[in-house]
Amino acid sequence: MTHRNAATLVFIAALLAARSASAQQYVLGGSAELASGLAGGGPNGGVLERARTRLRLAVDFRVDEFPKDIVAVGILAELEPHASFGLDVRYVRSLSRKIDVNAGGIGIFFPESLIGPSCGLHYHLTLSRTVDLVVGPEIDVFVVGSDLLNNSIVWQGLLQAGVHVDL
Amino acid sequence: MTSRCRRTSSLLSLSFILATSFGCTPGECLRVSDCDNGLTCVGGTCIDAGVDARVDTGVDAKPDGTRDARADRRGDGGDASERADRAVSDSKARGEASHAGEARDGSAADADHSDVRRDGPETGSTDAHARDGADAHNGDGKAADTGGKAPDTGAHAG
Repeated sequence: MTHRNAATLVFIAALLAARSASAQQYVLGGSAELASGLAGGGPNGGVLERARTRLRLAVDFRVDEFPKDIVAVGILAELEPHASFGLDVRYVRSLSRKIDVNAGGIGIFFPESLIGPSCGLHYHLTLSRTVDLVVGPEIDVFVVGSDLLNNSIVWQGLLQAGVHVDL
Repeated sequence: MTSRCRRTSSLLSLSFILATSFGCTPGECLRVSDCDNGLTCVGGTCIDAGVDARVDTGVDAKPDGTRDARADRRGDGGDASERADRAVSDSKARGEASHAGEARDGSAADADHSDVRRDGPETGSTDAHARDGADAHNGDGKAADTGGKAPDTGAHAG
């Protein structure tokens, strides 16, 4: 066994030992939100319309030792006036008990594709120890995908509202 | 603007205010999937491009294989979508013209829009146009590259 392999094994063992020795726990959360707003862009950037109404069902993960750093994965269903489905992945940073911000990527994959960056903010209204109402804005910019016209860019500004539960 | 578009705009006064403030057009489509099957989104409106599409472009292609590029001396090229809308409403398409390809070489912009005028099965003539006054900016009244091609109009005579 070479020195490099031995060092690698020691490193992995140290990582595993550290994880098992710690009191870290993953904390899960779930949320359901409805959103709608305005969408614009297009080939000449001069079209504005109502954004599709969207349902987002998401789960989020955080380590109890770092409760302000959260990763969330959501399933998206645009409901009307046309249906489509997609996913998003976000890094969420909790700024306080009531406010968090997020940034990540969003993708619509059926029936056509749209992919781009996304960012948003949530304000939490506490209903109980584990249940919050959440409301806040979100901005998505779609820069790639078969649903774009002539390689244009489509953006949407949404206002979303829903409920978040610590599982 | 279609009735559906007007309805959407009136329902969303904020959309209307923003649209008029920033010179935007309240539209009914931004994405390909906003239009039902067979319709194409042009300038925020779903149109039936498969049957009735014609865009004033500036480059003609003849069915015998020769192609004429004529300069559009408007120079500024105009607003593409506006011209597309105008052309659609001015459509003289007869018969079934399926699809015009992109204008290349001599054109300053791609034709994103079907643009076929068909005179009938006897002549089988097709005109494909590139938008935006292809290469009219050289000022001599001729396209810089007279080979300005609309290589595949997609329209079939007869």
